[in-house]
Amino acid sequence: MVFIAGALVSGRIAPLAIAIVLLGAVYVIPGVDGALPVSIYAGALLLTAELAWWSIDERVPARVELRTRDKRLAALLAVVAGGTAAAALVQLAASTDSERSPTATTIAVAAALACLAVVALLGRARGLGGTKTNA
Amino acid sequence: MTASPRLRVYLPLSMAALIAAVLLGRPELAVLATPFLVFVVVALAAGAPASEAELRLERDSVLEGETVRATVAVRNRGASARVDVRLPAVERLAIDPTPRSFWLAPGERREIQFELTAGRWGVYEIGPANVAAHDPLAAFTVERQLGDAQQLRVYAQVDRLQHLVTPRRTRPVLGSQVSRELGEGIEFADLRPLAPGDRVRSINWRATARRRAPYVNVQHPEHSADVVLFLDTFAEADLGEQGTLDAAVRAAATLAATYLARRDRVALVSLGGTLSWLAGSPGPRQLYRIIDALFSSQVRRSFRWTGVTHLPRQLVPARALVVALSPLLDDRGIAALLDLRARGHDVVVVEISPVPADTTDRSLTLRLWRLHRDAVRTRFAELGIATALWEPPYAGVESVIEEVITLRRHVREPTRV
Repeated sequence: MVFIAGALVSGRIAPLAIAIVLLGAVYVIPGVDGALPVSIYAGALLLTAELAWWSIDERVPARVELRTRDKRLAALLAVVAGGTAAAALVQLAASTDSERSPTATTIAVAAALACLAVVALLGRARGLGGTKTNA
Repeated sequence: MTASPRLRVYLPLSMAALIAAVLLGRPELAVLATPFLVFVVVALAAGAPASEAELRLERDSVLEGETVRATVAVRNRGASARVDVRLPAVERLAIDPTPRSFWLAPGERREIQFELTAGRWGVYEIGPANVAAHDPLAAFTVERQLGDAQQLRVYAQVDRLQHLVTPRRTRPVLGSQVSRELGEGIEFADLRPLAPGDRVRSINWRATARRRAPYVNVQHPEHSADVVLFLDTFAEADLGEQGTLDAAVRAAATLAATYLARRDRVALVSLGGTLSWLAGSPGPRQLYRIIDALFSSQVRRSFRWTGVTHLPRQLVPARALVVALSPLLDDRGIAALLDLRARGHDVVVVEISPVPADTTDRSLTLRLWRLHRDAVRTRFAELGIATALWEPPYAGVESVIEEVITLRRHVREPTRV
């Protein structure tokens, strides 16, 4: 919470990143009993991070139409809902009773690399060599 | 296109969590990373925002202090986007700097209006507009300067004066000023004996009866005059809201309007780092020419000694009244005025002082500077140049012109050129 407050006050992304890491780590520390299912916790974590970033965005004074905020909120809630559902699927897949084996580990690593490849391809399709390009 | 910095956080964190989940055998890490990864994928897969805009002004010319509307028409050529529009700040032009944010569906067009208030005369370049389009998740932003820049001409407020410095000599063209010469007019001047060619109606019957010989009335004709407005642009004291050059330009516009309304011929000479002039001409069109020429008045730094010798002789006619508007800050401007006087021109000076009358500064530098200016004024007075002081905040040129008229009664008349 201190880091989120720090991000809101300073308007910088770094404290927010630390806050996300710490809040995620709190859930996976052995011995900590999560009160919420992990998929809902993950969705809530994304929502918290996004609302914090939105607050930082809104620090720039502007005359904003109400409809604009509604659209962003709707898009955000949709992504959070979709992300939570996807997380629930991952949780479901992880909870299936299967033996840990080299084959399963290889498949999991391949799936993680595939995710990375998909993201990289999408990034290239958007013309993102770095973080800023000429549109 | 600029990516939001949070994408640089979400992507590595979620990828690290995924790999850690596999390596450590902790599926919770993968579950925690999934919504962030979904966010990044959705942001990357969404259509890119793109927009086009045009900028136009309600009017391209206004008076000082007036407000003009600028319209920015934005059309969305890409996916749905939040669009922020703002006009860049322009010096001495009041523009609301707050961006306007609105939602644009694909293909939708929206017009946004901004109000601009011009506090000072001049030519201003408005635009292009800064348009930033964000995707619905505000993950990517396309920021561009769109719309062609527009020119806004702001004319100085032109007042009409009740009193004007009357030229000592006129030109033989019909005007509103009573000439010192004798001829036909309204103002009675003298009596003289009837001469061949005189009209019967000009006979003064009373004088004729009293003197027992025919006498006729002689009048002062109504003539126009040549006036040269002399703008000293060698130096300027910029006092923030209004500098000495601003005051000079405003006074020049007012004087030009009033002299031209009296059917006088008015010329403009701007003597500074560069020499520019507008030949004398009567009529309302000349006022617009003068105001347009005044727009380009600015102080250009130069060490060249530009004198009035560079001026064409016909620009400052022998009978012209030279009204100089000068802060008397540069010796070259002072020398030019002395040169004009030495040539026999009728010169008056409105000294636009950069120091307010009620200043509390008693420093030695300021006192010495004031002594120097007093010496210049005394020299002018000795040579027959009436000099009136116009001090900040330069309220109304009427009072300073009346002061010039009063002082002019006590200075000697120039000898003819």
